[in-house]
Amino acid sequence: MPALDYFREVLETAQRAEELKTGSRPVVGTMCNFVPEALIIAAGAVPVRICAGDHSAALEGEALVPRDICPVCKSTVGTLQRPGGPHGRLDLLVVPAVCDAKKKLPQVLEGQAPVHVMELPVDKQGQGAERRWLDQVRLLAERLEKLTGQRITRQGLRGAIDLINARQNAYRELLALRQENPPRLSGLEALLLANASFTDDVARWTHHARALASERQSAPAPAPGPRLVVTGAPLIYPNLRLVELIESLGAHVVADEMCSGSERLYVPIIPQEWNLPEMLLAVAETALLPTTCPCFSRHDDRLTRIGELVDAYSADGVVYHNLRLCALYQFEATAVRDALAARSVPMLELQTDYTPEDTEQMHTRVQAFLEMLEARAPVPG
Amino acid sequence: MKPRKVTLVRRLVQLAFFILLLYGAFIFPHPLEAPIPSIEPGTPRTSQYPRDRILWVSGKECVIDMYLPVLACRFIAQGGTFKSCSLHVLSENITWKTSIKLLLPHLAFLAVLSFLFARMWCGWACPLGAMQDAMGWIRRQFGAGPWHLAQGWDRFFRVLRHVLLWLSLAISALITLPLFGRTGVNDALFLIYCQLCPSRLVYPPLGGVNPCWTDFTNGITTTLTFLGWFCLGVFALGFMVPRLWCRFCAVGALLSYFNRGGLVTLEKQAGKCTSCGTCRRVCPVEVQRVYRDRTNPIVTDTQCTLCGRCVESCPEEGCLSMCLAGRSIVES
Ligand code: SF4
Ligand code: SF4
Ligand code: SF4
Repeated sequence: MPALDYFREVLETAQRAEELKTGSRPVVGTMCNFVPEALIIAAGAVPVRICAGDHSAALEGEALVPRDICPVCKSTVGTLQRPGGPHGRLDLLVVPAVCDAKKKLPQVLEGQAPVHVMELPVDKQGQGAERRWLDQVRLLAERLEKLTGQRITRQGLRGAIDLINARQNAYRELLALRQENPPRLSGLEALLLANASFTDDVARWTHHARALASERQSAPAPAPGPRLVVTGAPLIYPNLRLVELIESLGAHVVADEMCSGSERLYVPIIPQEWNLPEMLLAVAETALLPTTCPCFSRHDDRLTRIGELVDAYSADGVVYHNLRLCALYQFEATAVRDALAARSVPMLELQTDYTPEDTEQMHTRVQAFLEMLEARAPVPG
Repeated sequence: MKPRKVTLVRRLVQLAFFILLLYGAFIFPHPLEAPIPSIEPGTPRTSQYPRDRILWVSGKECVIDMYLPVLACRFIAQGGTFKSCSLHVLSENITWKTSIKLLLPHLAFLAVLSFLFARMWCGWACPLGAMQDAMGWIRRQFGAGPWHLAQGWDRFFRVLRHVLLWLSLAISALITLPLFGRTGVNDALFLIYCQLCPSRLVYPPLGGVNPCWTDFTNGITTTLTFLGWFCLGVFALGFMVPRLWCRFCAVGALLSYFNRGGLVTLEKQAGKCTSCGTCRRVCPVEVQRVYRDRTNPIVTDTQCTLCGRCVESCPEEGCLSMCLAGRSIVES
């Protein structure tokens, strides 16, 4: 069985949901990467990221939340209404107040599970931001301890950090395959992996990612094509059609800057010392500081990151993905375009919703963009 | 997590320097109890000081008649391998009014060493620095967390050590004025920085020599005795705050002038930086610059001891590097 099938199984079958439901450990849902998974694991619970990408669930969600909010929130709400969703069960839901929708969502979701809200600094590098965020992480730790009845100990947190770091290392190994030309891991595959990590057991995911990496070391290379970086609003399974489309047209998505993709699997947690306060600080800072989410008032880190991805992965162009009704990502598109123009890297800005209706139009625009790239510089190889 | 290779090498270098500087005089033969060389006729002369004064606890000559820009202290038992630290040689010769001709080779040597390695001396060679690192290791064995200095204190100490440095040099010059000389004050204020420095109290016992713990001769010596104990207390607090003394140390302050513009530099490719904050967290002296600076390629802070901890810990390949004359020696 090819190593990739494992990740497809996690996403497509109800196996993992069943496992979570019958498992002895409480399941803690998170609504984005700001919630430190290491802390949840250390408290003896299972972290599950519940952000959803399902179109029909988004329609169902409209019964509870306004129509004019982003499809991620609607779909997540809709998914939670369904009996036996992909998470099996939820013992606690942790929602960082990232945007307007996520500020209001907690009360709507109170019926599904107890909800814990985390307040996020507006400027992550601002005065006192780190201290306030550390307080939030401490509060979360207390809440988790109450939920599981298990204290977060030094050994527990260290073990959890090691687990997360092993996962990040395994993913970095896979990223090296994408730096090759042509890449031996496709953008779609990378996104499947990242999305599978939403719900999957961390150690098992890591094991299979390692297997995939070693399998690909000896795999034949695909045909060369234009190399693209995808950035922007999260593409969440099963809504991966943008990347599918790009790669079906012969281009390679060699890197992504998305919270549902590489971003969540990239930065390791490195404390100064292995004692509880220092580890907690490292966990908190790692969740906050390197995050390039547009919810912060400044976008400098995001521009740096995208620029570095273009360089490190020798990309020919960038595709900027907007989700309808997500103002935050739309806001930053201009800055990203300007920064890329300064390096003469072309950018295609696309806006999608979860509805499949716009696929045709997307197809035309991506194709035109690829033709433009090919006209600019013939792809070597 | 990446292996801490730089730190491993550094520990070995620190240990070697510790043994060399503190016990070199026991290992290598050298003229013991040689008469203190008469430097120049003038005011005041070392021979005018009674030998049982705090300043002459070990009172023996060293193996190599040279000075180092770190705490290669004069008060090391048996005289030590090197003669003393840079601040000792500056202070005493300012007071002695040694002719610049005699001093120049020593000053040039010190300047070259400082320029070559700047505060790398602190991170890699200073025995007092090594001892503070060892104290931190002991603390970690007890699972106690390090205490962090509030940023306000950190900023205050950054100024304070320069004040300490220039004040002690100024006092060394002032005590030669007849006004003070005649009152005998100069005696008590001679080598004022040494009278405060924890090395003077910490090193002699390591060689089995009793340092002068107290000197209650007059008001000044009594005050300095208490101040010296205070500084020893600061050094001891290094158990909890990593390298706390190094934030006061005037020898480190002197070296820090070479940290920017010296031969060894800490460089950062800001494009590769994810702002993860690791470099700031792992830094023993809580340097912010490496993390915050996103414009300058050279990010060596004046506080930085060039220990390389941030370089070896940064998860981004090629983002941080330690360079010698612009050529990278170690990279993240
Ligand atoms: S600052 Fe002073 S005590 Fe600290 S390592 Fe440097 S010379 Fe030694
Ligand atoms: S450790 Fe490296 S990547 Fe992280 S903030 Fe420091 S320089 Fe940047
Ligand atoms: S900035 Fe880096 S090299 Fe300098 S003292 Fe801190 S950790 Fe060591």
